[in-house]
Amino acid sequence: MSSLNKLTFNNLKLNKKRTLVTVIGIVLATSLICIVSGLASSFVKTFQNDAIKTSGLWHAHFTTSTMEDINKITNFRGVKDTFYITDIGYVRSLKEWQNEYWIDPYDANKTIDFVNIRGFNDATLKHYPIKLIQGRMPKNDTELALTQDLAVALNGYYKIGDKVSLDIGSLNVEDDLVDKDNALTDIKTKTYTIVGIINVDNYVGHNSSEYTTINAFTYAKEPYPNTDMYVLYDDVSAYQSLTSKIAAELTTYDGYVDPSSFNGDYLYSLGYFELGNIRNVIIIIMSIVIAIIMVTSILVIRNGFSISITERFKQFGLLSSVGATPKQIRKMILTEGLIIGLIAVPLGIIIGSVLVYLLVLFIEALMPASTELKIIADVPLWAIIVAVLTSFLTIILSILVPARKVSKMPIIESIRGNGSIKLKSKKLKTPKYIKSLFGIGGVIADKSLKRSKKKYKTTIISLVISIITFIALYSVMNVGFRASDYYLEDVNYDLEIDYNPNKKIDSLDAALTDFSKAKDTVLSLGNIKSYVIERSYILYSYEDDVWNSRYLSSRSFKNTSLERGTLILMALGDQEYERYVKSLGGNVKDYEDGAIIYDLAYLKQNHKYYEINLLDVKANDKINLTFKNHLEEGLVPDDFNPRGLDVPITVVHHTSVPPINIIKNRNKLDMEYDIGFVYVIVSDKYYDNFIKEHLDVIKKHFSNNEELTNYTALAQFRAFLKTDDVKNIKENLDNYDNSKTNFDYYDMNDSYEETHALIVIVAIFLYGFIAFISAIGITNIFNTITTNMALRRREFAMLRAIGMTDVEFKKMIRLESLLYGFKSLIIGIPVGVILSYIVHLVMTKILVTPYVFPTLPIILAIIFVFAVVFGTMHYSLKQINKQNIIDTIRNDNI
Amino acid sequence: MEILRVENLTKIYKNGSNEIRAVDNVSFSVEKGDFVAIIGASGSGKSTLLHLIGGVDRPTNGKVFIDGVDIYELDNDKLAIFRRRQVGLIYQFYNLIPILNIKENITLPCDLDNKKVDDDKLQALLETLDLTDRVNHLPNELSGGEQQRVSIGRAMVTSPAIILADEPTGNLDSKASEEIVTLLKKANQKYKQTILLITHDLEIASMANRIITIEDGKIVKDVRN
Repeated sequence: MSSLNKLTFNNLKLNKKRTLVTVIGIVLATSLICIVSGLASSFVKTFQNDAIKTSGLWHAHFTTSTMEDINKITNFRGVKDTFYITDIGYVRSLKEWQNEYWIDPYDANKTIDFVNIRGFNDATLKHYPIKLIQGRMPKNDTELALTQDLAVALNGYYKIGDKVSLDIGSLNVEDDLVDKDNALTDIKTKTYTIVGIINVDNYVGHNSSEYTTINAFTYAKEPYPNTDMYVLYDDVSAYQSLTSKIAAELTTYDGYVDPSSFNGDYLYSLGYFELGNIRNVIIIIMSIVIAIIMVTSILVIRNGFSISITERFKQFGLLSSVGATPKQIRKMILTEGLIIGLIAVPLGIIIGSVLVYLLVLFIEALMPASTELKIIADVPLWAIIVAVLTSFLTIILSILVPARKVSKMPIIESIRGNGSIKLKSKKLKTPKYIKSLFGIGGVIADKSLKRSKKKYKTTIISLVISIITFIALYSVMNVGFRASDYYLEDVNYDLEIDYNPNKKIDSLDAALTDFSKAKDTVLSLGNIKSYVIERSYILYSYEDDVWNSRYLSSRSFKNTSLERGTLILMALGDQEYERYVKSLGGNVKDYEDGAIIYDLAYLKQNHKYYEINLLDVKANDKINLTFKNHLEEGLVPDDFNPRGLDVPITVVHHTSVPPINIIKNRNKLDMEYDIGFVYVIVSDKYYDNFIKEHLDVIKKHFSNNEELTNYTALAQFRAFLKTDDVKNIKENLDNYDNSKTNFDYYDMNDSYEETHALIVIVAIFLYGFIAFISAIGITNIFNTITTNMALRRREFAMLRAIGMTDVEFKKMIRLESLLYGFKSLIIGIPVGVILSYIVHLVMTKILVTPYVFPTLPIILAIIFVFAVVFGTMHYSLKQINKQNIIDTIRNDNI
Repeated sequence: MEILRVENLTKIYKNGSNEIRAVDNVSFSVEKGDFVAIIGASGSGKSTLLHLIGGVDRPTNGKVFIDGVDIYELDNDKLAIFRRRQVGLIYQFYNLIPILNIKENITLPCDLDNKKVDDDKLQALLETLDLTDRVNHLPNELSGGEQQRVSIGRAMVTSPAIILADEPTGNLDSKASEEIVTLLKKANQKYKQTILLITHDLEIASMANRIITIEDGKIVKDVRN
């Protein structure tokens, strides 16, 4: 090893702490690139794999009726591969098939008319989801596999190993009409051995009011003319045009390609099918994310080397003075970079890959056991290459600039040390107020920041990037969660029980008594943590002025006298009502004389969803609720004005936060004739009085209305329970005598666990990303501040030697930290807010939501910045304090 | 009047199992207005002695009284305040604060005390130091001799009980060295400033009115000129 290389190694070893921080920075940056691309790739692989598993490996499928068509498809340019499920013929007449058990497995009143014998070959087995239930797959054209439905329909009449002789013919269908007795022509007899029972996706047979078929499968080495041809293209992106071109050549198509011809699941997982805007949004977000990683990584790496080099100007000067050439010095610096890179980059890739696998394991653990989704961890080679290239490129670029500077610097200046800093008194002007406010400590703090402008800038930029990332990503998350609110139904309760009295109730009092009895029954079923007892009553509004004008103007009924929207009057039970009122910041006493309006709808316009409030009301406004259902009975004259049946209600709170029983995303207005609905939530007492008042109004108008003698609906309710006792409660309900009262229950954990897991995964990913970016930022800040402080230790020692007390010294350092913090926040917050707005604009391509000002992340960012800066300063101070004043003053001498 | 008394001062450095007695049971006292030179070979312990006297280091044993105050009885903060009021330090490498200009460097001890320096007094000091036209410069814009004059100014600005100078000419050429020593002498005579100077240069030491010689941490000779 040459002495220069030795020196490089020794330097790295001597400056252990800084080397370590630089290595950590590079490791973090490299592994983050690895993780982001690895996770992205894992998710894509997972969904592709899942799509292939559930719908098969093909892009499009065609139905043919001639062999020419089949040949055309197989030989079409751009078609990579094909397989088929071919139609061999139909069976009816054989006696053995027509037995007394011959009934539709889904409908006991129906019989099966025909069995459709279909054939596939090995390619089909490989690419199409065919599931073996029992026995084995048919291996030649004398073996037959029954579908599970057929096996059920035959109810054990045939078993595996039996031989059947079947008369197979073609079925003559005209406009879905079949003459059942003469339907089959061209009949041939064939004997099969039954070898297994299978399920073939999408092949359940034909089921109409005219006739019913069910499938059985054999092996077909070659397709018959009537065939489902499945196609895999060379170029997926051209799937639409290729499919149209092929269809145009076929006799069975008249130019129209049904969307069901495509393997939507698989194409979707490849990013091609009906993704439209979402695909662009994903691309934009990925680009932003990668750009942020790149910038932070480049900064941290560059900063690390730049510090390491400027710190050693003196050494380079000494080397030059004893005859080292600029080239040798450059090489020495490059070697240093390479050594650090060779340690850090592979480490980053290993850590990143391991983290991807761990994260996948973790996500798998989160997913409910019932899920069919098999998650695949995948760190693709391209991700590793990208990570390696980026990191090394950044290292080299970060080294070249300071290395050039060093080799160009006059020797004597380097020897004098700190050659990069050339102080000019003019640039160090400190405003007078700083001295009067903070004393000489303030002056020194201010001037030291002005002196090391470059380092100061790096620290500020690192902080600023962390702040910006945090604020902007918070907006991504915010919209992301709102979007997932929209796409995924997240439910907050464990069990829903619906109560419906199985009898006619003929007075209001009787209905209310029945209600409270049933309610008590439900609440005594088991150990219940909290509950909602939901009663609702449907009302309408005819007033234009209380509705959002955007909503009204987009409705097809805007110029009619029809109702403007549905108002669902709802009581929640005292417990949830109290909780809900409190969560809105109110108290029950002030709220119980009016209604809380819960109002959130997704309005579709120009292929985007806009999140809007349907009502344009605020507290103390009045809304007239109208009872319309009684008008539709034909009991009233056409010219009757429903406004006569208004009962006013006072708004006490208008909110977009639902109580726990309402699922947020149900209110979607896709079509212009869709009528929006709003919840009018009141206390139970108010609800009962309101209903009573309503009945009085109705009675006044329609004394002979039949409905007025049937109060059954007023006893109905839905209970939503939070409980760990689901199993027990379900058992109790199962044992309940349903002939007298009728409870139906729905176990939410069955259906919503997966959704919930998905939301958690999204959160982990986004928060994890913020954590990583912040960690990179922190290494950068740590590196800069600690070295800066270390470089000034002689200055500090002198200040203390001439009598600066510990308190004054700490005050000075704190002031410097404050200046760091303020400056970065002053830049970071506005930029972050602007970026969060841009993110918001981009995200509105999926879902249009009102812009939420990122107050919370701003507060968190302020806390974060000061914590990091003060923490680092405190750390470096401790290091400095460990050193003896005199040693410092003397040792740093040249 | 006695301004400084050193009693049985000892400083032991431990280096593994090795004990180095940098200062070994030293006692002496200095009268107000004295100009004392401490001489000795390098490693003799003279710098350690100076630092102990200045209160920037604490002894293993012994006491130092400055103007009657037992300085090691003070806690760190009180000692720092005592130092900036009563002790002026001058180092071989000036140790000026690079980001403060000349005037700010000189007035730093007063600024730390939030005391304003009397303009006339400052002006007189600057004139004595011959730095009147350099007040707005930064240290790195000055020559070595000029920088050392600034550090003398900083040491004198509070009119301390004692000035401790550690090889103040060690980094200067002979002309500048002479200027500095002349300046110290002048301060001693004009302001009755007590000065304790460390040097290994006998010629410079000869300008003092008392010379203490140290060897292996012990006083071996103490003569008045």
